Amino acid sequence: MIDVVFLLFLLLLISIVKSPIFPIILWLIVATSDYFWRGLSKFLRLVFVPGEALYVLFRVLGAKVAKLNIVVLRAVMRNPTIVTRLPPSARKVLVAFIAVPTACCVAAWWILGALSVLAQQYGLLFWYLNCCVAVALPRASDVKCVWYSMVVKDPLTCAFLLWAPIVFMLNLVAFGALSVPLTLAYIAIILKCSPSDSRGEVIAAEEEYVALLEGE
Amino acid sequence: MSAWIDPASLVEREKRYTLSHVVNYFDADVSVDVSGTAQRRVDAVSLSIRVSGPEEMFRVLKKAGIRLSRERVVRAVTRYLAGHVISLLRKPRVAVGVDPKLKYVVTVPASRILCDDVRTAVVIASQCDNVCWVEGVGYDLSELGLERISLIPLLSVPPSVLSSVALWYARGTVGEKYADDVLAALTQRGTEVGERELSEVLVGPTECVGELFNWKVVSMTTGKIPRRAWLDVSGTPPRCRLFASIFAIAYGYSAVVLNGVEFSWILAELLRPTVVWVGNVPETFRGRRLFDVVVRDNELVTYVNVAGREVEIREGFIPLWKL
Repeated sequence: MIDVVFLLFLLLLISIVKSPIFPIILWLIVATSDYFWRGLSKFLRLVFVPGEALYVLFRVLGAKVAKLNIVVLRAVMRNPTIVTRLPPSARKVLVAFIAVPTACCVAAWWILGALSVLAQQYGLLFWYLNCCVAVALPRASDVKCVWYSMVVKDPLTCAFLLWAPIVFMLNLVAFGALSVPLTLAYIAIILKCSPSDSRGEVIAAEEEYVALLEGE
Repeated sequence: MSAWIDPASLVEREKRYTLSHVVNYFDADVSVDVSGTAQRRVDAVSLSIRVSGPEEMFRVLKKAGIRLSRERVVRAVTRYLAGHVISLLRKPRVAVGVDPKLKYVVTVPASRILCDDVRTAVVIASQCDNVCWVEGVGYDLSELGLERISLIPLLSVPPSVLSSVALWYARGTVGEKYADDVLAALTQRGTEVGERELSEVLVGPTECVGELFNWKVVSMTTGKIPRRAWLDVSGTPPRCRLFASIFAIAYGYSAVVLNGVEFSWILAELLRPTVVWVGNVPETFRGRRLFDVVVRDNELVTYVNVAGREVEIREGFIPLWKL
């Protein structure tokens, strides 16, 4: 009986692993375990080493796009709490850590999908490469970094933004289909009313980041 | 022509030094505005830098990668960055070494400098036209192009300087109320009052003046006081070194080097730009910072006041004498 259950469990696992949505599941595991189970996250990143390389590459690309200093990027990647002391612009961090890497991953998946269609097969190699791309997606530490860089500058705006899901639910109950534009309008008003300096960047000397890196 | 410099282009230390060197080379006018806290919860200040100078200077700055604007550029920067910019744009400056990667020359503002190596003081003194070196260790500085003053010719010292020296010397030794007696002893000795007679008439306050004559630090003669001079006070009692130091500071030399001079509260009061003190002396006295720049073996520490708070800037360098 136990053997049968084990076999069924194994088959279920294999079917999940083979399914096209597995990279998303993998990403969820890597992204969240980065926060609560660092060992598992490290193990998965070791298994999908090219994904780790892509992770760094996409962030460097993001830094170039956002005009974020590479030293700052290194410092923030090493320790996201650095942004509480020397905060770069939240917009730049958002672009470098979330927007560009996500866009790059989507593009990589699209290319891999096109290649698999052209090759008329979805073998182990494509599966592995898809998983590697999933590992390069933003993680909990990236979100934490963006959040810190916003919170440290304007905690009130962040508190109002956290209230947005509740606003959405209330709008959904009261106005139904209008809830989405109303919530977006709410978010837009909050961002518009936030102090202008919270969007700006505190410029720090390169050696300050280096000192923080060496000190950590 | 004038323009505003974008502080965001001064993130790298090399560019900040480039700005400093170019501004010094063209002798440009610089005004740095620093105001209050620019960001909540972050230790930052607002910084804007305005530079006025020849057009060629702006071309050089642009080539160096420093962004310029005709409109005022105000940026939120960290206190450290603002402090370093303020420190680097202070004039005049003296070169003390080079960057560890040999990319640029490291300079310090000609202010109150403490250094632990006499060779650094030699480097600084060699860049000054009007310098007096008070030597208490016994080095021969003639090879540096400094002219030796064997005895301070008191009759060649302007009376105003002499009265200041007497006042400060009295404060540092016997007490301020005896300043007139010290001045009298310094001006009368050897002329109207004989040596023995003087010691009988002016006992106490003038003992310390008598010591100066006995140790041949001063003389009641006339003579030339050169623009680049050194006073040999090695082997003399601390009071003689104190007198020589006070004289060098009060005489109006643009730079004074004190080597082997004991720390005294009176000298701490008299420290001004540019005094270079070589030796192991306290950096602070009675809660007050005595030196703006501290040059150690391979490290340079500059203290700058930025919007009411002191900032410490540390940087590594290779001293010029090591090259």
